[in-house]
Amino acid sequence: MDNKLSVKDLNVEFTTIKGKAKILRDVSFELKEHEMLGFAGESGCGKTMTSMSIIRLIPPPGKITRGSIIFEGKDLAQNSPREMVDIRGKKISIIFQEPLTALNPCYRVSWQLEEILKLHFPDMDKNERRKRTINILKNVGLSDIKKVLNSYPHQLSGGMRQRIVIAMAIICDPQIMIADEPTTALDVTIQAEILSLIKEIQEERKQLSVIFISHDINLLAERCDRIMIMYLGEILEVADSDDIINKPIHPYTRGLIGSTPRVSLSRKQFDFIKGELPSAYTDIEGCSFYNRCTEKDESCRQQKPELIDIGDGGKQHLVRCFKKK
Amino acid sequence: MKQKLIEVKNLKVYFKVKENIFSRVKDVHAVDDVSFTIYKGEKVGLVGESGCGKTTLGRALMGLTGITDGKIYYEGDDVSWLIRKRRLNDLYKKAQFIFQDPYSSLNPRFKIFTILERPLRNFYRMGKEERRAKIIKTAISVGLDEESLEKFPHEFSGGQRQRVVVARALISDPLFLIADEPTSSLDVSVQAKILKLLSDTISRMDLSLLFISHNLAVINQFCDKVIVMYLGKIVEIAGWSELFKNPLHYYTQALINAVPLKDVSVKKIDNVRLEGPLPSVIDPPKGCRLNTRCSLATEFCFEKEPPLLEVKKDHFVACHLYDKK
Repeated sequence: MDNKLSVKDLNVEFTTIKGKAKILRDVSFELKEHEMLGFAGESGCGKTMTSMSIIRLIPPPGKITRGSIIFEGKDLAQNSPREMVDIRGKKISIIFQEPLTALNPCYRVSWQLEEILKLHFPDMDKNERRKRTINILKNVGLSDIKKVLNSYPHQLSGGMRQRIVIAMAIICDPQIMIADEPTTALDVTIQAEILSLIKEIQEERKQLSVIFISHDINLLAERCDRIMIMYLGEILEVADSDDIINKPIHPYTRGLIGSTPRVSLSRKQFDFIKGELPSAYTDIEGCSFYNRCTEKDESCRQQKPELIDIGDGGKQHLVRCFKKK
Repeated sequence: MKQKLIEVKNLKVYFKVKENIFSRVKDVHAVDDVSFTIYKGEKVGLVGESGCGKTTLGRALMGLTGITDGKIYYEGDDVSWLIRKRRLNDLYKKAQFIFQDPYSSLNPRFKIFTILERPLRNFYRMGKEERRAKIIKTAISVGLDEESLEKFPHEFSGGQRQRVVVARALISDPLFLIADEPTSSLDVSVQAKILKLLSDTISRMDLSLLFISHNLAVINQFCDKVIVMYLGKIVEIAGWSELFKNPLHYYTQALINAVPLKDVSVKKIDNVRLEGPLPSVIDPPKGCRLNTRCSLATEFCFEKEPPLLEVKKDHFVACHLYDKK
């Protein structure tokens, strides 16, 4: 299978008065054709920043200091802002966490959807634009489309707003869709609907790959093909979602799974990862998880573990730990 | 014999609203005719979608919102008149509240010491030294060190702040805690720490707890008894294992279905899905309130409201399907 997107040695730094904050440290991964890849980790671990650097929307003073993001044979990290405008929304689109801030409160839904088409397909005529907008709204499961098109974002419920944001993301038939915690602002029942909608969209569009960001590892495990665990701007483990849940190897992954409450008839004590997340300003020599790890020894502090493939039977299972079995 | 700590009888909380300046004043039925009992040492979970009245119910128990009708008893004493007369100090000595957002519930101008001192000044006549000793003891019991008492809230992370909020709630030795989504603004690993802290303190101090959350997984791992609310009404009350093993109400089944599950011990019930949006609380549907979204609804459900009946020992449900008469 081809790689849709390959990120290699990506480094992002924020230079502030306090010094240099390393937000991403040598992040390398591949997004395969027609795949749903999940990013998991605590807040501040760089999952959002990874996706933001793919569409080159890192807020200043953040900068990509090293690395490449290869998409359709071109390096996105080297693209000019003008070239990025053609890619954003058309080839790579993003669904933000909070649907109300992602939509403009001053314009009707129809205007906001058609604006994207106007920008990316200037030759399209008015009727065709309207037809496509209506089709896409049907696609995301909205009924009473006339009313929706004529309403302002504040007149719609949270679930409907998120459906419109999803419609905006897929209206240009993108190659990659990034969903950045699309359901955290929503209710449980609506969350389930939105998740199955995203999965449905991904399944019916053969060219679409999805990057799904969430801090809820159970949620990712249910929907994603592969999961990537991040910590302090580093990738610690990448594997198929079943392997991550059933055979986690890195102590951090195990801690993360243990601390996520899940619905079950057996009860266990709350596990948690001891200690606090170190600041991004600190220089790390050895393993980034050293100060919170329960299985560390002297070598973990001095030497940095590499991301090694330990999978068997052709399946990839990357892990960054000396203690792998 | 279990001792009753809190008894709520036919509690109603209505808010008056005007949809626009010309319309009549209407009632929002935030909590409508709710009765339940909390026994000593019990951890009760309150779950439902947003807008179902769970927060209002919690606030009403603390006198933070006025009550329209009904009675609340703490250890057999009627306190609803205290709430009506706004004599809340007597109530706050018995019950304390843990708010959702630790960023907005701590005064940024006060040091932690002052924040923790306030409840003691309000409720007890204590010497300065005695107060200081008590504050230090409480702070250490929630995992804060003595130095942090001289800091301001902004110097802490979200998890540490929530510890301060917990300490403030515990310092006046209450009998009852109400926690309104105490972990929803926190990270997964921090959430596990705070839940562990709460469950340890509750068993140590023999407190009762009303835990309000929309997250079924947290409720599942944390509470002894679960109350499910929908549109201002209680639809089901049961012990946690009974509720997750054998959910009776259609709404409870749909909620459990909506949770991402990777656990085989809890079975999803097929074809149970809520259709359509949450109806307005200003004109709730006649009869059973779920009748607009329930696929099992019969004509009778549109006519008569189902009462909350005990169908098994300690398992109450409000649904005509289980009403034998």
